[in-house]
Amino acid sequence: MQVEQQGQLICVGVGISIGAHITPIVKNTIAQADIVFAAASDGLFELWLQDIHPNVVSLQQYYSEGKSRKITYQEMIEALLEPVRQNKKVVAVFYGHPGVFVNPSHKAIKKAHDEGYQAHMLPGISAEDCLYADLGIDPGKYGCQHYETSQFMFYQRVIDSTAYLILWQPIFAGDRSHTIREAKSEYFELLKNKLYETYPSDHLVTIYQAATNAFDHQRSTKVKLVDLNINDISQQSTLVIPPAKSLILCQKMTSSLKKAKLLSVS
Amino acid sequence: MNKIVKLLETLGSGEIVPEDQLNELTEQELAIVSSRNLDGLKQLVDAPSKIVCAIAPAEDDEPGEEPSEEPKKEEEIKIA
Repeated sequence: MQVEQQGQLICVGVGISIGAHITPIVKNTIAQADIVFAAASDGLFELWLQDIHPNVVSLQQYYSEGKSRKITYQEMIEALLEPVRQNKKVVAVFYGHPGVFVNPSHKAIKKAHDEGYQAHMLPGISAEDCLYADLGIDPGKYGCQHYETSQFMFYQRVIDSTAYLILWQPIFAGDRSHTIREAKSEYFELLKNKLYETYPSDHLVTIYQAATNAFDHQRSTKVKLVDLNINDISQQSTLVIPPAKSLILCQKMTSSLKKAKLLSVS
Repeated sequence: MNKIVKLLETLGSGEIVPEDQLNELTEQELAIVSSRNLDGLKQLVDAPSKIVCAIAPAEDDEPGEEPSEEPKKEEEIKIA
């Protein structure tokens, strides 16, 4: 049996918009930390995070040109755990939700547990939450599939064109090296080709970006799939592809329900 | 806290900005805030311009590796 150490790691989400989404428990958790590490989504957000506690360390220092982000994430994990091992209460602040499309948080918590330290996560409002609110999408209406764009490209997926398809980080489309910072049109064309296998070229898709502060505004642009241009995509952009087909009733299930006299008609 | 960032925080929270907080702003700051000039605001507070906004890799573990979340055993599902 492992002896639990005094050091502690808490990964928290502060939401997408400065001051708007931070929860009381996250605010208090940050205030009680010995040291705070911060991953921001833009410059103003970075300043805000650096101002919310007297001892905030930016995680931006681990990114560099040409360096694989996989190495960056590994370094972030080590940076978070080092003070935990010195019995400090460490709070890692991530924009959005710390467990949604975030790699270092999950891994650092697992590693902390493996080493006998307390670690947990506090949720935050994610870009996905903002997307539903801003675009008026209910994921329960037709169903919703979410993929990291490059992963969507690299692996075989069964795409359900009767549900929404949401692709995250489209700016990094096709980058297996995890080193590119700017969109590459040749990779993006391959993504479009993959989408053409399921969707017509004139299918309307939305490029979405949540507002990050009170002066910012959410951006959503509808374009035909064929007109989708990499130059319109930023690091914060998400691609929303609405259903192309209507829901198809499962006759087999309907028959089974009828047979079992479980089908009630409202 | 930087007064401009503090103002963004207050506005973001939906609170009414206290008069004291507005009085702290210089004319230049007030002009930028009033016009909601985001680029001017970033320049004014010297916000970092090179921020990488990505914390998820396309491929985490090697392909073919077992998922880290093990499926629940039948008994656990029944109990739940």
